Amino acid sequence: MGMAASPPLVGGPAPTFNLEAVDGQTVNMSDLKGRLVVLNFWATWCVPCIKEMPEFQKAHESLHPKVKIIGINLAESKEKVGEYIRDKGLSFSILLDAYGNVSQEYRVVNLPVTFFITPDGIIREKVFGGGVTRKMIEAKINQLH
Amino acid sequence: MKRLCLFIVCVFLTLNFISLAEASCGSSNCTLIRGSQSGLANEGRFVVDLSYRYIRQTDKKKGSSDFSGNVDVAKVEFETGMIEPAHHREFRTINELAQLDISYGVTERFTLSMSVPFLNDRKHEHIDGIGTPSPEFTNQDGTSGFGDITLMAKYAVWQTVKHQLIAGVGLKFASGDFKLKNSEGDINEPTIMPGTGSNDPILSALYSFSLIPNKLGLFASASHRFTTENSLDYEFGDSTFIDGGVSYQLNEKINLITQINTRISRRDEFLGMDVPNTGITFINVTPGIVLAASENVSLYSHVQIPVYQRVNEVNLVPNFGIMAGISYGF
Repeated sequence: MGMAASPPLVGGPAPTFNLEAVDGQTVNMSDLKGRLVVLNFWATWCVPCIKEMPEFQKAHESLHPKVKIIGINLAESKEKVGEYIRDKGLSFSILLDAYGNVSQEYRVVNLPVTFFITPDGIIREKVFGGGVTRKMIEAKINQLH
Repeated sequence: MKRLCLFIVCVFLTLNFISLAEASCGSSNCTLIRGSQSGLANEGRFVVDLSYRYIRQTDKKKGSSDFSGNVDVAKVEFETGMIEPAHHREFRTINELAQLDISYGVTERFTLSMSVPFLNDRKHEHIDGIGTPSPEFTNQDGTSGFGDITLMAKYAVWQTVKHQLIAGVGLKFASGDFKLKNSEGDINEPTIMPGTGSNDPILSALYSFSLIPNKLGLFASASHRFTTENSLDYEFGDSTFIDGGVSYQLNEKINLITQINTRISRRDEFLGMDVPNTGITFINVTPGIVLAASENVSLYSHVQIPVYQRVNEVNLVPNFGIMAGISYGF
């Protein structure tokens, strides 16, 4: 797992990472340069987080492949997260931040939190707390595009 | 009894941290470090906490040793400016406290909180006039009333997914009753009053470490109360509180917490004179459980068990303490 030294402030570069997905593949943040990325930090025990998940799924279905939506699960087992994904029918990328290191790089102290990252790898917006909807995501993407 | 009042303050300063923390996963977001928030509320969010404490004091100590003799303690004579040693013989004190705590998250890192001990009730049994021809048992010298309000400002100077360091500064106001009269018409003992009569600055610090987010966490805290003299020329001894604990999320509903609470209070002074039977060192183990009743409401209960108690001269000490409460975030 590699991580950038730059702080993840809005207007600054997004820290890179290399995390394993639930399906066993790995996703490297640096490979996503050139794409709009919506990065959501979440956990299954976080009620506001799981309320948002269907909205991220809807946004994924309407915006893919223009926008890459990624959920980063904080420190839960692959089995537990996998079961949740299957149960909810989520098809966007869910990565496992097993030790919270990436969350720490992104200065996550509350869940959920969502970052909007432009193709140049810059964090343009951070949405703190629940309440993210497909319409909100689409509106922000239109602003950033 | 000197210990009593400060013991209650200790319970407030330590256990209150827990109750606020457990309301941190609300309808909009969840704070990652749980069980040790030191009262940090989420931004734009209120946490209201109502708690009840029961502390029973019948055990006797001489220094740090168990003691089977008589606990004869001094009386402060405010009317004459004298301290009368071995004035009365203590038997039992039952302390009950009801408190309202309100916190508001001004920002993600900055929280203001207010503690209102709206009912301090102490049932007290002793023999007056020991050494005189007519010693008299009485249970009429208890007190009941409004306590001292405390305002605190807390700021997270370091906050990551795993670490949190919170610094706090506050003031305990002289809002409580501190001149109540006893059955003889004299001003009662300071240590049994609902309030202290002094405005005391407080400094605090708390460090939390999340071993497993939302599962297992450790915390350590320290605070110090800088006491001042009240209008009766009485000054409670400065108090230092040092606590450490572990929090374990058993399942979605139940959080288990165990902590060690240490409290050191210096001897009190009256008109510059040391007051006998005051000043203590207590170490307690405090297991507790928090039940998430809903997204915004949690119920909690803790038991405080003494493992080390030291007093100056002789005095009664708590056998145990019980605390229960409800916390609501919105």
